[in-house]
Amino acid sequence: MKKYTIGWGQLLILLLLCRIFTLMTFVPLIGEGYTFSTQLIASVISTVIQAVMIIPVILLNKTISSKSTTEIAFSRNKVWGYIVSILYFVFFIVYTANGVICFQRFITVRFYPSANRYIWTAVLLIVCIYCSYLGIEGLARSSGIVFVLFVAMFVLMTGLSAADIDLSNYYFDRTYNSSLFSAVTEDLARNGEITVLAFMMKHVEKKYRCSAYCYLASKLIAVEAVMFLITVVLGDFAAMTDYPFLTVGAYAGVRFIQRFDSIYMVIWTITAVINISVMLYISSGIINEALPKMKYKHCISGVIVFLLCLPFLISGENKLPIYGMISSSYSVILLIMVIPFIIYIEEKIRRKKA
Amino acid sequence: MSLPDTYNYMNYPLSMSLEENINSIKSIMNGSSDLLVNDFKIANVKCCLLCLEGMVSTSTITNLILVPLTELSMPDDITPDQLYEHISGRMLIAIDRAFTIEYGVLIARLMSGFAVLLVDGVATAICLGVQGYATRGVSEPSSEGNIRGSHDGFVETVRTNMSLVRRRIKSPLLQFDLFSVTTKSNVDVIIAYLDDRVPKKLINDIKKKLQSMKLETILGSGYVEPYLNDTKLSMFSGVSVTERPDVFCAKLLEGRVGLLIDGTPFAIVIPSLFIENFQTLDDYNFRPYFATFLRWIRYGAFLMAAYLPALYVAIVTFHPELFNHTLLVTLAVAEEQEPLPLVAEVIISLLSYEVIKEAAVRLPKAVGGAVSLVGGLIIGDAAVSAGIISNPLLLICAISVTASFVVPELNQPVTVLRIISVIAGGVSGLYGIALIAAVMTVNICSLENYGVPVMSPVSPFTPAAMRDVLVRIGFKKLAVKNATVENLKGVNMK
Repeated sequence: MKKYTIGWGQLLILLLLCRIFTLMTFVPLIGEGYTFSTQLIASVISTVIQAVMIIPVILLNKTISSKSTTEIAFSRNKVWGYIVSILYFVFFIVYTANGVICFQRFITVRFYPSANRYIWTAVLLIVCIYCSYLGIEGLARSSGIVFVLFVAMFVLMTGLSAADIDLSNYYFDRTYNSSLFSAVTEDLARNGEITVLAFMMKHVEKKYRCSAYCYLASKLIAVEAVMFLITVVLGDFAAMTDYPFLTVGAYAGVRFIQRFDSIYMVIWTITAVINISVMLYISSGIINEALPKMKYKHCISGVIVFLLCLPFLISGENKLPIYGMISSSYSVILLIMVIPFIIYIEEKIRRKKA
Repeated sequence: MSLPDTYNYMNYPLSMSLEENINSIKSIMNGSSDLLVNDFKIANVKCCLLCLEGMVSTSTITNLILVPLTELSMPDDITPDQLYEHISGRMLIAIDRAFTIEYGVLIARLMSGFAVLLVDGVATAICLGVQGYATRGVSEPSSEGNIRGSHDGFVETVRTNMSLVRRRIKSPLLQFDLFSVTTKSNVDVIIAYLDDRVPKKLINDIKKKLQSMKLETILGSGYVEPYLNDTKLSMFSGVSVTERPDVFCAKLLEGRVGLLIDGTPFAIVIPSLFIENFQTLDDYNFRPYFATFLRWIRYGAFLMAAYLPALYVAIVTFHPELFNHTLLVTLAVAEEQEPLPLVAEVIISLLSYEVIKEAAVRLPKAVGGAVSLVGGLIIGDAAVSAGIISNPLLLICAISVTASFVVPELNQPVTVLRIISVIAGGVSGLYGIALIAAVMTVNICSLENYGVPVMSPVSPFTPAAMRDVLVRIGFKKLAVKNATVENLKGVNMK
């Protein structure tokens, strides 16, 4: 496989776009005892926790910058390498499948109720397999363009919703104590893209730490801004809608174009393609490290994701407990903090002995 | 050693015997009727002047070679060596002169319009440049019009093209490397570059690629382009083509490598950026505000050309809620009369337009105009009157195809992309169009040619270069020393 390199800014935008994708298809849990203000605070706490969680990866990158976590594990011990690779691979594949299902549900429920979900999922995955095959450089460069589109969309959305903004919709909820912990863990699980940092070390030549922390800061701003907009425009109505961000778009309109939700859907679809392609690229990259002689790695990753999506497509369910468990906040902590920390300590001990 | 023949002559040395040399050349040329052999004597030494009919200028050969040689008075006892020394050392005859001892070079010169002088008893030929074949004069480029720029364009003769470039860049830093390529035709190609602005590795890479081509001949720039394109499978290219010497020079000054090919008026520029498809020379002649305005018109035109019909199909079929009530009613009234599905209507309209365009291009100009008129007005009007296609759809298609002419360099990808998008939009609405747009964006962003990302300077983002992308600032600020492609972010030409 050719060694691709991307700039620190490109990694930052790429990660941010992956987070925005999760944010766009974000379903509020307000009906389950959360409020938006709880979620706003949970986001801040979750971001602080993430800033701590990524320290081992940053330290590892400082020690060995040209390899991913799985590559370092392989270079120390093959069995350890396989274990680490399997853990990362399973997480990324399940995380991707979750993303695909989440997006398919969003598209079919809100826009195309009569669409054949099997075909649409397959088409989406074919597109993503092709995009991941084109390499991380292409994806990183595209993410810059798509991010500009997202910002334009957000500004437009805010501008057109200006008349509907009611600041009294935002009130500080003092009863969040009981639900805050679960809101934080929920937010951590939604930030699965942070594990990408463990794999991307080999692709970014410099300013890796800067990239990681700028991402956390900008992600927090983006999340808070979107949540704030949803709260002040929709108020309590946000609790009754599946996709509040999209609903804000549906509210926005001008005389010529009545609703903007379909236009925003275009940008969300492009964001989804970038996000899923990045995950497929990483999954196939892990296969490449573990089984270098294997061919059609991108296709294999895509087919596995499709197979993982089948239970959802057949049953019509939104969530399967096993998938939720694999891509939970605990998995994120394991993959971004625990494993890199063990590898880092191992590396330190090895260097000391040497 | 056997005598040289048509298939095997390249490294054969010339003989001392004039007769043997003439017979060998006739044998190599296989008795071709355009080979002219003129025997004559100077003093008592037998000489021969060879040339190819139609390749040399009769007046030049008469004035510069025949008259001086026939008027040459030499003692009768002069030896062939002395005569050769006199002609080669004391007579200038032609400015472009070469000496060869091999048939390979001799034949190549002969084919390039040189006259070859052979002297009996001397195994060296004197090649004299007296080319005079018919060439097209320098005229306005047919494919790249402009308003305030120069009006001369490249022609089919590579040496004329070389002079058009040299006249604009009068610097010893401008290098022309001439060499022959292809296995059969020995086509002259010239690599042009500014020595201080292009990495040597890039030039060597390009030379190697050209020399390793397995082509028998080059009859157009399109033959060479695939060999110079490092990019993956894509609708877009990492090299560009220009017919304008001023554009060519501008690219050389930006650190690109140019390729002039004998026999084609289209020069190749390597590497090329996607954003350059939206820049014209007029942008730099107009006032900055107007140039910026035109540039945004072109960006918009590109998007309209590629996606407007698809958006129309997608919105009318799947997302009618986007339009306001008045517009929706107008469209519904127009479309409910039509017998065909909307997507079929659009594809038929677009394909019909392509047929008319192709007919207009291939036919003689006088007839081509009539075909455009009949196709565009009469058929279009009849189709609407007959109720086969609707008025709004025809309007959308017309705007889209007209917009594609605003960026002619992208006409090929846009034509195909437009039809693919219409199909995607017809099958799955805006979702399908979004998928196509995503694929196109990632595809074009992943393209690199000789270490230069095709989407640069947009992505990877180079803020300094944006003053000639998002806007066109004034020359006082734009004229920065050494603003080359190598200085863009993400470029690795070394």
